[in-house]
Amino acid sequence: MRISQTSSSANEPGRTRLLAAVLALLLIAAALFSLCVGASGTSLLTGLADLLRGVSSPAARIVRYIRLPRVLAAMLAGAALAASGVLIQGVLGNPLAGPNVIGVNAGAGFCTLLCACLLPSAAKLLPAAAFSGALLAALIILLLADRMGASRITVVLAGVAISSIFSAGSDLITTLDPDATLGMSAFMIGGFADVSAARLRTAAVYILPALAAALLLAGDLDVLALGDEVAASLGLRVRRTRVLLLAVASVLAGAAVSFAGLLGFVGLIVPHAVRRAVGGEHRQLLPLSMLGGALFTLLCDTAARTLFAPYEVPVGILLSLVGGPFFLFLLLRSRKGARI
Amino acid sequence: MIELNRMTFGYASGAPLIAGLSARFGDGRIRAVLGPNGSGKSTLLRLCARQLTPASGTLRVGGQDAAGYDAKAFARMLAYLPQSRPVPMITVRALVAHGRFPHLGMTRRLSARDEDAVAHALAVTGLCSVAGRDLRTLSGGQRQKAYLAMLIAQDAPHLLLDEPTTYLDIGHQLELCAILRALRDEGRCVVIVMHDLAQALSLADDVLLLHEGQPLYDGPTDGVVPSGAIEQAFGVRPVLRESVQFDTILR
Amino acid sequence: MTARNARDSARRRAPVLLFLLLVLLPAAALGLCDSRGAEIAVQAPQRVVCLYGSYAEAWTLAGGTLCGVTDDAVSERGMTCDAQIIGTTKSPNLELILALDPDLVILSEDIAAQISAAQTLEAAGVPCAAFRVDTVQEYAQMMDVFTQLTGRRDLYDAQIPPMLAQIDAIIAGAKAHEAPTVLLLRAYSTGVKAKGADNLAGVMLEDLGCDNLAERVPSMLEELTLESIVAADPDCIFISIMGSDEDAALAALDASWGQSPAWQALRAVSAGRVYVLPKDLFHYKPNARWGESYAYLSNLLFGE
Repeated sequence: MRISQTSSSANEPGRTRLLAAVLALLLIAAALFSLCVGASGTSLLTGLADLLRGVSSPAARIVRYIRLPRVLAAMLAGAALAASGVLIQGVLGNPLAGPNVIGVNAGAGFCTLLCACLLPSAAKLLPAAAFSGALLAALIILLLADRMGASRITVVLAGVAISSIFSAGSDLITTLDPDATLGMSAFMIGGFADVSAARLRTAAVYILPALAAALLLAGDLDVLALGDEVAASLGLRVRRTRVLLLAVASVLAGAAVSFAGLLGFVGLIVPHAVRRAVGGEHRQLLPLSMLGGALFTLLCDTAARTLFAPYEVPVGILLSLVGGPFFLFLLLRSRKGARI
Repeated sequence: MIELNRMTFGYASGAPLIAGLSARFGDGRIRAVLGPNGSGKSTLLRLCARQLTPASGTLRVGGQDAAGYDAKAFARMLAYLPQSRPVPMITVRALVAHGRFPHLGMTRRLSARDEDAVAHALAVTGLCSVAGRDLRTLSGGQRQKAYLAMLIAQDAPHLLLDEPTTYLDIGHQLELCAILRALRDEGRCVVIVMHDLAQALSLADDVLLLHEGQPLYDGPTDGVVPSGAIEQAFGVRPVLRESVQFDTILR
Repeated sequence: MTARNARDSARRRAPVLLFLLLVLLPAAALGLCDSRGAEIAVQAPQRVVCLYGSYAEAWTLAGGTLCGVTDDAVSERGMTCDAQIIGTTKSPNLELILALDPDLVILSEDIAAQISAAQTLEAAGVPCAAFRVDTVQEYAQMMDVFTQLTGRRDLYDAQIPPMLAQIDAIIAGAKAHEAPTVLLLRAYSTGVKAKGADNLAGVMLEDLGCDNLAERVPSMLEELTLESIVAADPDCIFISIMGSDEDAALAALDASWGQSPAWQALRAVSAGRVYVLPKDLFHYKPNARWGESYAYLSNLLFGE
């Protein structure tokens, strides 16, 4: 009987740490780069210098009120959506699931349209409406699923049903009151152009604790991935854990949608790509996906607002344009090697 | 020790699959649960593992009422390996480490004692050389051994395994049986559902033969053939013949 | 207190009160408010950015200059000025706006993206003024505020009172006629809806004494069917087109209803009294041409 550490198993935690360090460095570099560029060509150094001296020049105001909230918003939304994707994919055991499965986008879209239709002058309420809608849809799905045993297929089917109902509701509102959609197209596609420090603060109050909760629950998610019977045999309360994880995923996605609009792809692709690099253990997958999501969204948003200045490409479009082909590339590459 | 007292359970409304079944599985013994398809073998195991709730009847594990344990305490008492389960994208070492889950505290960190248990489990199953490999890259037999290592790391005095040797080649089957015997010798209560009658009879100390939810035979292995229960359950007759047996080659 | 002491203290207090009154009055007079009721925190802005083309034109009519506009000011309003284009009305580029270091940003209360832009700009210390103009009275109020900011009251006196007088005359003249029944339709890409008095054209029709069938039969506002139009059989039908491709929308309307004999049997259709309203008078704010809009409608309705 020999107890030996093989070289591959010794590298594993080292490789993960290396990847985490690389991602963190890239994220900081991307953040600095994003703070440097903008439609007005303002220099970051000028702005920072003015800020430090307490001078309220245009450069200082641009850095502080426009670029900084935007960079933080992109990183926060990216991290939240990627984490939400990891949790949902883990709970449902399906690497092709994303926050859409739990009806977040459909619910948020419906409630925002409803708010725009009934209270057309209360534009300030729209983010709250989006958040409530996302949580409402997720709550309904969770209640339905919990009542029926919270099995994977139940959650997916409940999600499909609820999403269709909310989408139909949105279409109904559009038909009865076409004017309501006039201001909403930006939200539907998703973007960070409207983000203000106040809105970001409100969302951060929900996102940051939820990210912490997700990190704490990552170990349980690993056990869940072994299958319901094995997980129960190991002493995990399967149903309760599944519902808890989905609830955290809902809060993350809902809060992100409230200020970023209906962004797609981040929650689907980033966990996928990170999984290919570090494997399926959520204790590594989750934090690395948060970093990766923040980086991906930040880079796309920076491109979105600088490529065609002064006009902005909605970042949702850019995410799909980049994310879609990348996803196909992942799929094709995996065919040659081991299965995903 | 696992004690079932007048257990009744049915999947759908209608006639119950198991009605009023009582049995006792002792420590330091390997018990084979045999029976034709649909006789309730896997169901019985799931009932013992608290994965199903009986309509009536009681279950006692380790001398206490099973309902009195919380999830993790019960997991420290009893480990159950189902017949099929998804294969996650993790390493062998990571899988075996999950066996320590019921022993971990809030931080979910492995202590030195947990690491020792993992190392021991890997050694016993002979998987040290592949500990760093992804589960999916292993053969079926090695993967089954990995799951058994996880159960060993769980360090529960009661082990329930549902068809652990089905789909394995003969070499791996014999390895698995050797490991199970070693576990029994440690004083654990090992209960196995098996399809291969001959292998079950050579491995087990006691047999519970189920037929339509009722125990046709409940006792030591050497009594099952003379009892005639096999003919009644399977419609086949055990015949003693000169036949080839297999032994592991020590490499 | 003796009578003499009381007189003395009153004499001492009076100048103070007078002084206070003199100080406060101008401040009260200069408490200009925008459509939100929020006070405009600047008195004589030099660097002004406007996020809505109609209001940009109105600002220049009030004698002001602009350093930043949205692209609809050029593309839709045809304004030629050396202001920088800072994005679109739905998506104004906040960075460019801040880079211009404006004293005041004029924006539309109707557009959600502009309301959130106002939040960010005001947090950054830039005064904002939001306006909503659906009627000529609201236009006059906005011009009142604008001309006080630019200090060109002469422009106000030259433009607004004559226009209001013209409109009053048209409305008075309309009273002499019998109230016609009208239907106001708005054609979208997704369908056609009846509109009441919640938009430019609807208000004007109401002012001219028209009986808007959509107001009388509220169910028509929710659901408009050909049958309900036939049942109502209005004297005139006015159509405004949403969206940029007018011809396509009209063709779609023609294809869906225009071919139907029920439509062709309508009194308004056979009498040739189906009118497509020009965008520059009835969809974009008419601004200085508001009188022209009323005259246009009055001409169509009563032939004068």
